[in-house]
Amino acid sequence: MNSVCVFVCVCGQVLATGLSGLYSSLPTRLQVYSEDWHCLDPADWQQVPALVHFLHSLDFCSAVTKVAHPSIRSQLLGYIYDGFLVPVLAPALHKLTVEEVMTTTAYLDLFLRSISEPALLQIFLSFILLHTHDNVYILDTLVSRVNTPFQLGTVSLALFRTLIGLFCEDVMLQLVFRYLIPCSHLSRRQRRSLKQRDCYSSSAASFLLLMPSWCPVYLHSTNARSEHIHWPKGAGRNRQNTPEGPKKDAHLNSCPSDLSVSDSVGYCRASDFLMDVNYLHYLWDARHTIANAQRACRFWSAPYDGTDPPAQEFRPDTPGDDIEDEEELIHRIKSDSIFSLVITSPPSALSPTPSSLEAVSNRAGRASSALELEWDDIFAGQDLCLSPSPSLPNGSEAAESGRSKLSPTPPQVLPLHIQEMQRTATKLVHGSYVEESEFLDDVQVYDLVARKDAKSAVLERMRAANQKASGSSSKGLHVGSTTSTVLTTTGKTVMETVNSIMSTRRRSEDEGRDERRKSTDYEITTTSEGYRNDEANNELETILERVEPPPFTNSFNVENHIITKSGDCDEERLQLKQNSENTTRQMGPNQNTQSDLCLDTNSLPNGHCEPQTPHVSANPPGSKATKNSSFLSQYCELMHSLGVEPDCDDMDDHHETFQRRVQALRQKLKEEDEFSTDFLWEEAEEEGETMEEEEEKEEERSSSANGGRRHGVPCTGPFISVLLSRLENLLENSISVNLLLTGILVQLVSYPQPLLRSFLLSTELHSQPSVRTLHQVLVSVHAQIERYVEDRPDYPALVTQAWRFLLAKDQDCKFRECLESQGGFIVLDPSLPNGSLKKALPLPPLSVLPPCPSIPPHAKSRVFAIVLFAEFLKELAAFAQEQSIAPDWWEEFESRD
Amino acid sequence: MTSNPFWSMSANPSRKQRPDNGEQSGHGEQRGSPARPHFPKKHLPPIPKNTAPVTKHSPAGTPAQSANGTHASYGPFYLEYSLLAEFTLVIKQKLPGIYVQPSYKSALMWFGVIFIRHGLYQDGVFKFTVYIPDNYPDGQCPKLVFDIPVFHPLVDPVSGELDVRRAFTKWRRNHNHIWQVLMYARTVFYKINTAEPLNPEAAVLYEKDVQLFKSKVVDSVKLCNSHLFDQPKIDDPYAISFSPWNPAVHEEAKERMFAYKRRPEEQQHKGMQVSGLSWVKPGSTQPFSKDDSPPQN
Repeated sequence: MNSVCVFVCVCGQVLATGLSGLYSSLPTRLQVYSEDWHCLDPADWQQVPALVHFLHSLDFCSAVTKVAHPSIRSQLLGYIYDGFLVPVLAPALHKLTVEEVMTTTAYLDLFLRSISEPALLQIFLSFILLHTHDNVYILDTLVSRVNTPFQLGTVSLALFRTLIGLFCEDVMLQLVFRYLIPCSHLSRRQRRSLKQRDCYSSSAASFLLLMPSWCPVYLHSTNARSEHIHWPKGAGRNRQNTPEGPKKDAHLNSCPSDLSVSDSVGYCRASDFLMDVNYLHYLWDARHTIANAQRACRFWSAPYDGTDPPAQEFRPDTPGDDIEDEEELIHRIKSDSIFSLVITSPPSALSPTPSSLEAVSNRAGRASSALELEWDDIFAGQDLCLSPSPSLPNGSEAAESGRSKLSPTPPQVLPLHIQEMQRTATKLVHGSYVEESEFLDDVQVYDLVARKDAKSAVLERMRAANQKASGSSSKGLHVGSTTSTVLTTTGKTVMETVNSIMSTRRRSEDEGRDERRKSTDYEITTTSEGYRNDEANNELETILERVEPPPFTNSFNVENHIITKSGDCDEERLQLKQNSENTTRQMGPNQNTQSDLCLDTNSLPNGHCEPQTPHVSANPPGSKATKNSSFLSQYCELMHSLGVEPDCDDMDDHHETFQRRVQALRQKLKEEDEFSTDFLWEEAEEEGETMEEEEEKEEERSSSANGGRRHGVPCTGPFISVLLSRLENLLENSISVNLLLTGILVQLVSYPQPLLRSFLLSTELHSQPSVRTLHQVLVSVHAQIERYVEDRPDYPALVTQAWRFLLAKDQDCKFRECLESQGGFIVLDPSLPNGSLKKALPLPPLSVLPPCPSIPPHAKSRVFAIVLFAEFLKELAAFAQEQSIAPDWWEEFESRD
Repeated sequence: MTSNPFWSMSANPSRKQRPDNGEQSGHGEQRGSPARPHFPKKHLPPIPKNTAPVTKHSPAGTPAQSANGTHASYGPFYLEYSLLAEFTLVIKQKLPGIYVQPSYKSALMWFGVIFIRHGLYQDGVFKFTVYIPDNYPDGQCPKLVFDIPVFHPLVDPVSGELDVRRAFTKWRRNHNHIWQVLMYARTVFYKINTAEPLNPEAAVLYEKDVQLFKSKVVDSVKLCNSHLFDQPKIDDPYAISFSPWNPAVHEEAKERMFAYKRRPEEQQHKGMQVSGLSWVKPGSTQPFSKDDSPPQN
């Protein structure tokens, strides 16, 4: 028995090290021939012997896992996790160049697609979801990469397509649902009607209304009505003549001979047959996809319908906490009494603009070198591939849309000075790395958004960790954080986190110091790195987070700070100071002055304290938050509130002056913070319980003030934001990106969970201004297309031509498939009884495809994007309709148990 | 499945039916479930499979600009799905003693039957047809017409039409649903309302001479039940028809009905393409919170 165990251990180790070894022989860069390439197809990987070997050995692991004894299996999986995923794959995902990272991402995607054994898949997934590399979850890193405008973004999208296609609850929980569970993105009314269906296809109608106005669907609209009328009218008849009436009608599809009769369902009668019939295909496809999704989700643990899991109790916890760190946390609560404080600024000071700038600059300070590494080789290679055409007004708009993602309408006409401000901000981000081209701006904004998103995710976790750590005694504090901070956030720590991603790529020699800094900045209590536990215990963690309530409205609004402390009160404060000095010192050397400054604030909570917390979200939801909170006005407000005379006019002129101001401001903040920290600390310690009550009150107040928003500023999570922001850029995206985006959205729309379904398919105007819905994004894209085509009268014809070509090609493909599936070459005989496809579709002979219209190459992706947009609308409409009549998946399978 | 195998009843249309009715109501509810994956195909195939396409390719002319165009061309889909949604709602409501099934020919026509389990109309089995206006849901409320005019103050003695409109003076989309009409049709047999009757005789009798009213009702119920096995008034494959219990035909169906719980899963295993994954412990919102979660450090 012993020898068996030994053998197994050895065997497992061999397997794991074997994987690692084989992995190391994989090419670190893939020769990518086309811009459209996004994942490793069999045709691709079969050409790479090393990859074939790797997949074989992965297969072998699968097989062993399948048949092995549970204990052996878990050992083997452990080896793979510890011997391959963590030490090999994680660093590979954080390599220096985008190309390498892209390659690794493609490998990971391929692995996920190749693994058939759930247990093996599980450790891969848990690696993605729970493992942190340099304190950032792999998942967050991957999500943020979706936003890179290069092939890395495309490949990352493909990876997410794979992940979402797994119908894995754990993945979807981390990616989407944990942000939707609090229901903060819904108004109270919407929350009540979450489980209701859209009985009258109003969503579908809204989607279809977004069709380009000149689009070919309208070609036949003159006669459409008469050609479409379908069923015998029921209501008009009285009983006497009903019996005879229907007899005259053809049976719907019972026998083909009847079909000439005109009052049966006549969808195919429209003049533009191909255009129309494919809506039926979309419906058919939607039905099957939805049914499939329902089946796939039948093992899920909860229906995600707004009541289960309950919105109120939900804490967007750190994933790892629950599982293994709980004990540790509890232990620490006992020994160190960890508290978390939430301090929010009152609405008057809703304008951390300067600080966000400074934060941004801080980031830049640390990230710039990494950035250069990161993007250098890309610029060399792919230069202009994605640069927005200057003639296109929404080029820059699209870039901005990244930042203003959630604003209900795209920021089309920003005042000039604000645009200028934004540019300054962007420049600051990149510190030394300043370039003027729009392309760069675009890239930078992408990057910013990506980092911001990643940050917000991390923040969520940190907050959760804090809440957890603070335990029952400081529950009240948790309140504050819930009311005010389920925001999509920018936080210092977050920034640092993200920076740390960058800095690791930098591979600085002072790794140890880096690490220590990170653990002082905040702590995410998960994962393996043991060193942190020790340090964590004797160091206090300061978590400061900055929050922007209308998170994507061009500006950064509210500051929220969470301070987590350990040790007792006095010591705490002492340590806090020490720590801040400490950190400053640590960071100082390799930062520029900006980052230095930033750190000051970093350890200093904002001076405005928390009783006003609810007001943050009470900021009238509909109140042009977008406008009011514009960068500039907020800055002024903040300055005023601090007794400094803002000089808004020349602010945009010199950002040095601006920075000086920021510095002054920071000084002020610092002073006030010292005071408020003390105050809060005591209050927190003494009045833990009262705070809990207060929390409730506040919650009530805030919820009554904003119509039921209870969990702070709504957000739907980084992944959805990233997805929607990329979708908004549809006209500029490459065809493959657009296909992936729409494909992923369709995957998401097929999920049966009411929370997701209602969010994606809802077309009513949201009462939550900061939540951007799919429909809103599509409205924006629609406007972009209309505007674009307006100036180009030749476009409609061009698009129509392309459209016909694509549809015909699609039909042709389907037909061929159909033929092949029927085994061999059946002659094209439309009178054949069986193949519905054949009968339903007048297929052009294989050779008579309409020629691809000659689209100027530069217009190609845009023309196809427009076609794709229209088809996507149909697809969405079809899914909306099918979802409205899909059975209740949860009840269905609950009744089975 | 041309006629409904589940409706078979014992041959004597009398009080003996009661247990059967009870039973059937139970299965009737379930009937919806196994049938659900199929029902749209039954009455409204999503794709007219054998449709001989009419291919009038009109040249790409000048585009029409109106937004109505979309609605015009997709209108039928909206109506179809509105009705499907209504039907889904009916299934969900699990109305006691009421069963409906859309016609094969038109989703605007639903066949139904209602079993009255107690009260004056006890043991009544009334078949009816629901007619839905083709501008649903923006039109009038649906009509409900009994195959045989039941003796009832609110039922037209000639046409058999139930006075639905008094309950739904104005049909409000989003608020009114067809299941409410069905529910109303059931209620009238338990709570007799004589105001503004369609059948004044019944109303007057109910007010003045309940005994006579009762006996008339009993006669009416008998009449209806005696016609139970008649061919459906409307020739439609999905019209509801009753036939005497015939073990050769019905036993198997009954068995299937009882075995239904196991069926969906069988189907699932067959057609399964993707099997979802979950390691989330019920009640938890943490990934990999189940006991058999993966190794972690």
